[in-house]
Amino acid sequence: MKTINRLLDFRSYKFKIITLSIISSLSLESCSKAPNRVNLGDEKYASDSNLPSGNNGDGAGTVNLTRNVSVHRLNNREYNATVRDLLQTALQPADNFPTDTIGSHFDNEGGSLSISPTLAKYYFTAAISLSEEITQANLSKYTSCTVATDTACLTKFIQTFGARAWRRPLEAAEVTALATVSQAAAAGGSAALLDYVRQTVFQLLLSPNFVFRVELDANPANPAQRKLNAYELASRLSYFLWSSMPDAALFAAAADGSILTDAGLQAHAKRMLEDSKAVSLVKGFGSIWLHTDKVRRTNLDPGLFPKFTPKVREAMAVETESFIADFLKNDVDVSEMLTADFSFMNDELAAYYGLPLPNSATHVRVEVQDVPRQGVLSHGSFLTATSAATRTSIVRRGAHVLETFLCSPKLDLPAGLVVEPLPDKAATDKTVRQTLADHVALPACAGCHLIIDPPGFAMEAFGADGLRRTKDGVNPVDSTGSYKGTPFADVMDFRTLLQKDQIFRTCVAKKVIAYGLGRALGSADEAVALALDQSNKAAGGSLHSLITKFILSTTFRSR
Amino acid sequence: MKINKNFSRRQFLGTSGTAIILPFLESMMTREAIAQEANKAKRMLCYFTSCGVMMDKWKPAILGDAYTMTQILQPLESMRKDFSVISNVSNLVSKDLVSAHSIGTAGWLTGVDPKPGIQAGISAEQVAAQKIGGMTPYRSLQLSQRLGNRATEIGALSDSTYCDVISWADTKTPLIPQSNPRAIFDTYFSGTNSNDSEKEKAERAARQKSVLDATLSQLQTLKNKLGKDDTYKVDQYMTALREIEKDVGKVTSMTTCPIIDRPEAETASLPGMVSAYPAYYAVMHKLIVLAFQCDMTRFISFMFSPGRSERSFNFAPLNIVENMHDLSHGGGADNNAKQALIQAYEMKMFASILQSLKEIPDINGSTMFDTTISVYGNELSSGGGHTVSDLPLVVAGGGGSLKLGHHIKAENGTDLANFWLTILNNGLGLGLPSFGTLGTKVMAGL
Repeated sequence: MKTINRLLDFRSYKFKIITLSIISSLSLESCSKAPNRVNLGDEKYASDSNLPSGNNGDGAGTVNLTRNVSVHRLNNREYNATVRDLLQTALQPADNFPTDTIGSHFDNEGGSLSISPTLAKYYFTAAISLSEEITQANLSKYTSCTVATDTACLTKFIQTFGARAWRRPLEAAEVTALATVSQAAAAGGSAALLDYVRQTVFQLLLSPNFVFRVELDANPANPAQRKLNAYELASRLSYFLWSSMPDAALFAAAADGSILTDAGLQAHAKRMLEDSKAVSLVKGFGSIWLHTDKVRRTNLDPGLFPKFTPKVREAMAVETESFIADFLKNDVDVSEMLTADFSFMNDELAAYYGLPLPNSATHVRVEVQDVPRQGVLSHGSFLTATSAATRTSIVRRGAHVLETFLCSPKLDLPAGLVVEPLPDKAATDKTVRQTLADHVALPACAGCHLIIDPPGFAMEAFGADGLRRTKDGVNPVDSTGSYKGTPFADVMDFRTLLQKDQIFRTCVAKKVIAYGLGRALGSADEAVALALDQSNKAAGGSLHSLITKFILSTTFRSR
Repeated sequence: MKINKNFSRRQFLGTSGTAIILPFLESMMTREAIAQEANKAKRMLCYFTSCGVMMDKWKPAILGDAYTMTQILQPLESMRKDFSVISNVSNLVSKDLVSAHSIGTAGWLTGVDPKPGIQAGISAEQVAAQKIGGMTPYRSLQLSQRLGNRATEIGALSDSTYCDVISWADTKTPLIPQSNPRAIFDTYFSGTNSNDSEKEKAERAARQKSVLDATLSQLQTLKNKLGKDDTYKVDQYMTALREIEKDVGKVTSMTTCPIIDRPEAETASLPGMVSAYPAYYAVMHKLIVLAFQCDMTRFISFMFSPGRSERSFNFAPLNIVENMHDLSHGGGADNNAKQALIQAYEMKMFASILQSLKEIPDINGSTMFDTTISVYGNELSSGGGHTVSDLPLVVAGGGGSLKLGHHIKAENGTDLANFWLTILNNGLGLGLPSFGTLGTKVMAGL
């Protein structure tokens, strides 16, 4: 016991030497070789056969979440945006739908999106409500036809409107089927045309061709990789950048095939990224990637942290959202998110951080000259949401960095381990870090914790409330640690090490790939992500350039 | 069930809480049918809580009916004869507990070991709903008090579905619950006091059916072009639309029952401020009672919190600052005492629903409490140890041949699937041969 305690005395010089040699033999291997582990830094691939848990071994009906599904349900955000763009409606029916779950990375993953009877009922009533927004007064907005007897006109209406609703030209048989149903609904008299149009819209919205993005394979039993056709590509592109359907210009590029060319695809990607609808990347990609919503539900002990008010909390969420919005547009290398000397604050937040006020009630860009405060790791949204109510959590902050910036697998506890709780902190004068050290003294725990904890150590300079501190209780804070064998003295050192880690860069690329394709990643995607990052780094390394390069890749243009 | 065809169901709107209640069945049924229905449980409430319990404050010291009520069970004291607390039922089907919360949650009502790829098995109340849930406007409802979206825990089952869902329609169809009280109210309780004539209603129904038919046809065409890994997605939609088609044209307005006011704006969206939680809980619990009272459905699953909840209880009278999951791993006398207080609070919320059901008459002089089997449980037994053996379970109300009023210890080897089979067969009289993976026989003693 004594030996272990000495080994884990972080302040001893001897320990530093011992640790460095132990790490190479103990840490990565013990965290990976023990049962049910994978190498740290590699994503856990659902398609790999060494799935440890939850598999009864019968193998029947195993679902692979890393494949490109053929029927990819719109998620709630996409449903709302699509009906907004298709019908110019103010209705947001999906606000009432059951909240989508989050898959391996995001909430747009095809393998994770299903239709329950409840959701189907909501699709049904939404389709009715949306179709009933069409009235005699606004009918001309939807069709130029004037009478229900003008078959040629109505056929054209179904073809045109249907092509937008289903995001591809309709087959003749489909048009006929729609027309037959609509015609039957058209009662006589002045309402006939209205009934016809409403019934058409109702059908189009309820259809699987609306609620799913469909990508069929010629031989579904044994699908071969193929290039997407023009309409499939257009949809994949618009749902990536806008969480919505293609616009008229993009449909035109699908119709004439120009979307399939490098020049055409690049031009549309560029204009769509610059369009205001690209704000969906902040909500669907950036916010989920950086977990910005979590701070909105973070409750710290108000007795200990009275300044952490709901307004401050909200301001922290907006800070990180604005920050990622900027990085989606700016031209700096994406790794500078970790060290950026700017952020976005309002007076409330700047005052909270103890920084100069920008004299604005709304968030504006501010220079951050306080060096430890620079970069997204020092955002309040991250620091507070990863804390317990009364104290910091080194493990949670470490795990958050691993998952968010290193695409680490969600690590497994050793099987059969009895997790001893941290002793009552009130009973000791020790810092959280010291208490943790006692806790992870067991070799079975040390292996993974030597990897999880260091980012948390670096962040110890910030309290649970996200504010700078030099003491944890009565003892000084210790922000030193070791990242993959290299020691760091403080959060600035740590950031730099993380920034230089290729695994971090590759992880950012992986996040873009996962979101762009709307699926979990498999082992085959590892090389794609690495190549994408390397190519982008040479071109300046910005996030929008990473996105554009990915769009131009074979992976994005194929299935 | 024979229905008196002369009965016309009317709905009273806007008389919050003061309308006269007509028991649905008695007015709708013939005398023979009433006699048949008497004293039979026909409703299920599955009430789920998370992060385990303090076993020493949960489990009574002795078996039988003369035990002293423990701290966490105390809110049920007045109903002592009407519930049983069950010990020694375990999740035996899951061998690898790495993702303990996911397994505990997804396995609780399904009695299976959940698999990667968003897979579990049909949940117990869905089995019942599919068999006997067709008489109400909605076969079942899945509700939850989920405060926002989040990714969850470690291991292969890291998709948040596993911790956010307890009801499953089949192996691949999780029934994502609803947690927005205003949306729930608008969808199920605001009613359509339609002024359409019978002719207009018939025309509307015909139009809807025709669209549903056309859509089903499109789905079949699409299904024929898909590989086996994708067809289940289309099947889910087809199954759902067929159900909707059966109900098109049916009167879905409710019988007379008190309509609550539309939930206020601050409870309409999922609250970020912990001080708003009690009001939110109150309205969600009211909606559960209302759904039963108005016979909108007879099968409700409810998640007080999702699996691995990081819920805060920092409101009066608890005023506990640490969140639930942290407390469950905290250890020490102080943390344990706080956990027990929270768990007793959750039991009090459960008891409040039971109390409300006791005040709603059902047929033949019984109450809805008597004709509802209410089960209270938790994803884990020990939150700190991530254990799923000897899970906390309470069975209340009921009817059928369930043994209530006792602390019952199941024999060794009793899996959750055995427990649910017992509920379904001995409680609801469904006569099923099995349930879940290990549920091939009912448990003794319940």
